[in-house]
Amino acid sequence: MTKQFKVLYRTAIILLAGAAAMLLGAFILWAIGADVTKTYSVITRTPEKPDTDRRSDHPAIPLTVIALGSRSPTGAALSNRRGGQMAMGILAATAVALALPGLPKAVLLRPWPSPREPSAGRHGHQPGLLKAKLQSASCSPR
Amino acid sequence: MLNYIAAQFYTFCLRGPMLDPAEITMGSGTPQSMRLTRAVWLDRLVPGTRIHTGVYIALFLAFVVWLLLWRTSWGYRMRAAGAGERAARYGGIGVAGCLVAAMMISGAFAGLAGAVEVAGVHRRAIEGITGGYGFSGIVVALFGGLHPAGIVPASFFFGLLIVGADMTQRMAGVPANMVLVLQGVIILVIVATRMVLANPYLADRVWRRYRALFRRNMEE
Repeated sequence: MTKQFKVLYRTAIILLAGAAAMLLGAFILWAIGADVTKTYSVITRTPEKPDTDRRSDHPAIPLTVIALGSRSPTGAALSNRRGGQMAMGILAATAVALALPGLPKAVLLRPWPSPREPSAGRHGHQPGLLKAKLQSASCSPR
Repeated sequence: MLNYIAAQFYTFCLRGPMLDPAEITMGSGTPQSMRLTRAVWLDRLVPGTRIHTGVYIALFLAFVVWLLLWRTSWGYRMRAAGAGERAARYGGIGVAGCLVAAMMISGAFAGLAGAVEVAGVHRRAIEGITGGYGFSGIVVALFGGLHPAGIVPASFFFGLLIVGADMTQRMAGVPANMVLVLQGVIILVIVATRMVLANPYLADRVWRRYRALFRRNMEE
């Protein structure tokens, strides 16, 4: 198998997968009686218009950080939804910002470490510990 | 995992100890904290958009994650523990420790995402900020091929999808929750694609057919 073929094969599979996702989505939209072309057009074009209220750059930043957290962990934490941990981070960051209003931004919002990470991390630590215990119990010899 | 507890605690704080005193004075009681001081706001990068300096934090973290996971022995152990738990344990890796560390890092990143969202967009803690991000984060990570270089563009694509979903409700009459259905479809397609790409027998069969076809064309 040549390297060229491997690249071609992977590209073809990924393109086919993209087309399959679009087709499946179109089928579901058609099934609920929606205008498929209009819906796809609205999703892909409208958010980028300058006069639009909300733009795609808005949710992309927190999504990047959360998804990086999902990756950094391994498959283990991929199954862990982080809505609760995000909430704990928001509470910790807001509490610190309100309690110490003179704190410079560079100190409060530095990526690591600041009060919100231990707070949210500790919240993630609890289910992690429980899951690890459960896994080690199920894997231990009987 | 303990999400409902955190969500309820968040709501309790916003309706109780952290409620904006102005809301009590006015009697409206909207569950939100006081506005953060301007000193901690993240600045807008491009006027007229909502893109803020939090993007630097996201890119910096992408680099850090790549460095830690792909360039250190600790990262190798973490990846091994995630890829094949039994094999990693057989290789002497402490899988339970990796799991706990993984969940802690995951939580810390989610907390940072929340802080960035508050400082960059809302400027105060309000209800409903976290809605959907937890689940979308999983889809984005999968869609980005579980690699920082893929996750960054995947996030922007999903950002488009999430905002587009709001628009479809208003402009095309399609329920906004349809985006969750589309995310489900994308997960199924990604899993199927990974299975197909990981199948060496299928690749070999396609390769033989391709070669036979190529030879026949050459002979003709």
